[in-house]
Amino acid sequence: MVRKLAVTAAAVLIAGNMLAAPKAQANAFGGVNPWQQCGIGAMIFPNHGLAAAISNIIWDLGTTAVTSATVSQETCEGAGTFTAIFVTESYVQIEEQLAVGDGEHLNAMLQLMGCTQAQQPQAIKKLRTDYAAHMGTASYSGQSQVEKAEALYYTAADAVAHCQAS
Amino acid sequence: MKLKLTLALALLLTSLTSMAADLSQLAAARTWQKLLHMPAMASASEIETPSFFLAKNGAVDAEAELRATLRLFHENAQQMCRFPARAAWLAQQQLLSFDYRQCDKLMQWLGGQTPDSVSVVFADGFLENPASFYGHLLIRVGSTSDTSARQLMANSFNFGARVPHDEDPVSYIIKGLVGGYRAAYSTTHFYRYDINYAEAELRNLWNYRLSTSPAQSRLLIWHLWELLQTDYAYFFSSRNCAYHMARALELVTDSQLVQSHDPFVLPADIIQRLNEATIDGHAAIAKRHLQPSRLYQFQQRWSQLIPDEKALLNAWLRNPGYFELTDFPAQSQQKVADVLTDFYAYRLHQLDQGTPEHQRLQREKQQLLRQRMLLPMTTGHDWQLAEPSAPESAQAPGLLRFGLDYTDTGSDSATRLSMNFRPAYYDVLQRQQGRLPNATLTMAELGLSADRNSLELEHFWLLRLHTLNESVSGLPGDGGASWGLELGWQRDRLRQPADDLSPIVTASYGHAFRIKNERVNLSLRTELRDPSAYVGGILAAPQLQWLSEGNRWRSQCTLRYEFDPGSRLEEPWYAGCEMAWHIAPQQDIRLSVARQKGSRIQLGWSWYW
Repeated sequence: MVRKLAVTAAAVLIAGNMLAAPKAQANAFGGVNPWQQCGIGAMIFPNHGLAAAISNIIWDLGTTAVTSATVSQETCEGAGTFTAIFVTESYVQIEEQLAVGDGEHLNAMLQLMGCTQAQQPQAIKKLRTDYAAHMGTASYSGQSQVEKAEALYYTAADAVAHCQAS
Repeated sequence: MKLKLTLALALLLTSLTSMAADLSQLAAARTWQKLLHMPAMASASEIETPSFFLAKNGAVDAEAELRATLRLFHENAQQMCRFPARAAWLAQQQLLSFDYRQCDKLMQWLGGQTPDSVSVVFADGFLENPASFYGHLLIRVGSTSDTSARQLMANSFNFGARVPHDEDPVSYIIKGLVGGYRAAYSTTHFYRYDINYAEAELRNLWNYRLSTSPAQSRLLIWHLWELLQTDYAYFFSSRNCAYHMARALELVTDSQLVQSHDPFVLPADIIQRLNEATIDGHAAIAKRHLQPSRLYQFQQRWSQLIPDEKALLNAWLRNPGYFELTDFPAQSQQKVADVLTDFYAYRLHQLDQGTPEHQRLQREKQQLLRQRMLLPMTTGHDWQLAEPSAPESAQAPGLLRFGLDYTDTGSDSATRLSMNFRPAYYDVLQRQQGRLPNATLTMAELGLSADRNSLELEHFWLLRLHTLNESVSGLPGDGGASWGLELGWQRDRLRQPADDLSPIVTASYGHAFRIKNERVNLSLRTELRDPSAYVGGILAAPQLQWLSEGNRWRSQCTLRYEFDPGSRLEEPWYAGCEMAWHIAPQQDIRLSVARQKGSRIQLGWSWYW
């Protein structure tokens, strides 16, 4: 329920203006940006590659490192944050599967965002178009994987909200 | 009144005596002892963490531990959540009632999954890290109602040493061998292991679903959950991931999978033993499924492209910035884009991040994916995945070989009996099923020879590692290289009449390729050794190797020219061939011939155990 609310809130706030609305994006998680305030980026990519980080840490669902005094541990441990972690870590797979239009990581992300199996084809269709546009922007190639994942997350949240509403 | 009291006391005594007898019986049950990791015939638990036991002497007294467990659970039901497997088993014995859904942490960890099955996952050997040479084991929690996306999220268990991130290689090897690290079980979502093993390390993952009932599956999962609070001294060859995972799995198998005194326990061994084991009388493995590494998936898909599509792919790679996939039929575009995606994915994992090459490929992949997103979604093409031979089909890892050894050193000749022994693992001439193809990986290989007068150590190889990794596509990162490393002692009977045992290190690196069905390796070999009057301390040699195979045989010939900077070597040319006939699943016959200054013929019968 919390997740659905978070996703819906994100979608409503960022619809049509995904990249230019950082404040609205933060509201998707109840005013928190998990990438910046729960330490997702720093935790997943400390100084090394993703694989090294994964093999060296023992992980619990939703475990995060709060990096902002204004955010509580509880907020950072929500299911929405787990989705953010999953999208960040699986970004490479999700992006590739999005290009094809199918794949288990892509489906898992949409499922975590509350998109039913019946809604997924519609969501994927929109997400492909929107994300292809994002990939064509000048800023995309300069972004880190964490930044790309953040953008993908909000684009997907928008696509999910769009197909849920239709 | 007196009579009533006497009767009541008698009844109470009978009941207490009977309960005590029942508890003694229960404490002797194998399942209870397996929950405590007390192997059959052993007097103590193998769990080294005192807090895992509730009785002071719980590690050596299963009954005391049972009584302490029951006492604690009756005093504080919440403690059952710390030991859910013990609680579930005691509930099966009708000594208490237990519902795992009352356990908050456990439920949070399950993340909504209702577990009712368990899979053991074997990750193929990985030759770039000594700790991973022999493969790795994971245990994955499953549910029959899981979608594939849900399976990605499934919790999984791992076991590994806690190695400091900046450990130097020498400390790493020594501490790993002598128990210098602590090791523990850990848990995370399966997708993370998939990224680590199949994507980054390019290792195939073999999933073996066990034939456990839902109740057995949960008992095993709860037990693994309990084991998260334990830790152990880590020994690379014996008390490793394979050993401890096997000990956990024994909770549900009808027989033991490992013995406490096993000097070598390899992950592939456990898969083989599991393949022969039973659970309630049925085969322990219900189903096998291959999750291919990204490289293997690429190779498989590449092989399914028609020549025009391969040409299209190569054209893209030659000029990615200006090449339009849309100039070709739709299905070809999609197929080529799929294969290119796999190429970029594995190649980017092989290269160091931040290098110009990595950045270039990253940009090319971005262009490709963007173009692919503008194409229709479905490919209309089903990629086939040919399964390589499974790990359980491999020969046993141990070797015992007896034979005859004729040597002519130039000044003397002799025929001796020979014996070879090694605990692990395989060489390039063995049957290829279930192994990394065209590779040698042996550990602690001992060779002895004897005649009427003497018994001599011919060689003792600590490690022999060779791989001839031919390329499937010819594209960068897809094989094409050969390399080798040998470390040990060897008696040199071919180069010199004085055949002293000498410490030797050899290393080779070269190009591997295929000519029709023959595999060829052109490499440069360097040998460091104890110098003698006949051979210098360092030798360098260009080397040609030729590997052939038939239905039930394999052979390898080697030709090299050795440069000795000390100019002591009388005959620089070495030529040798070895052939293996695979006469039975666990046996072969070997014949080898070699010549340099001296010559040698060896004939042997090998038994793999």
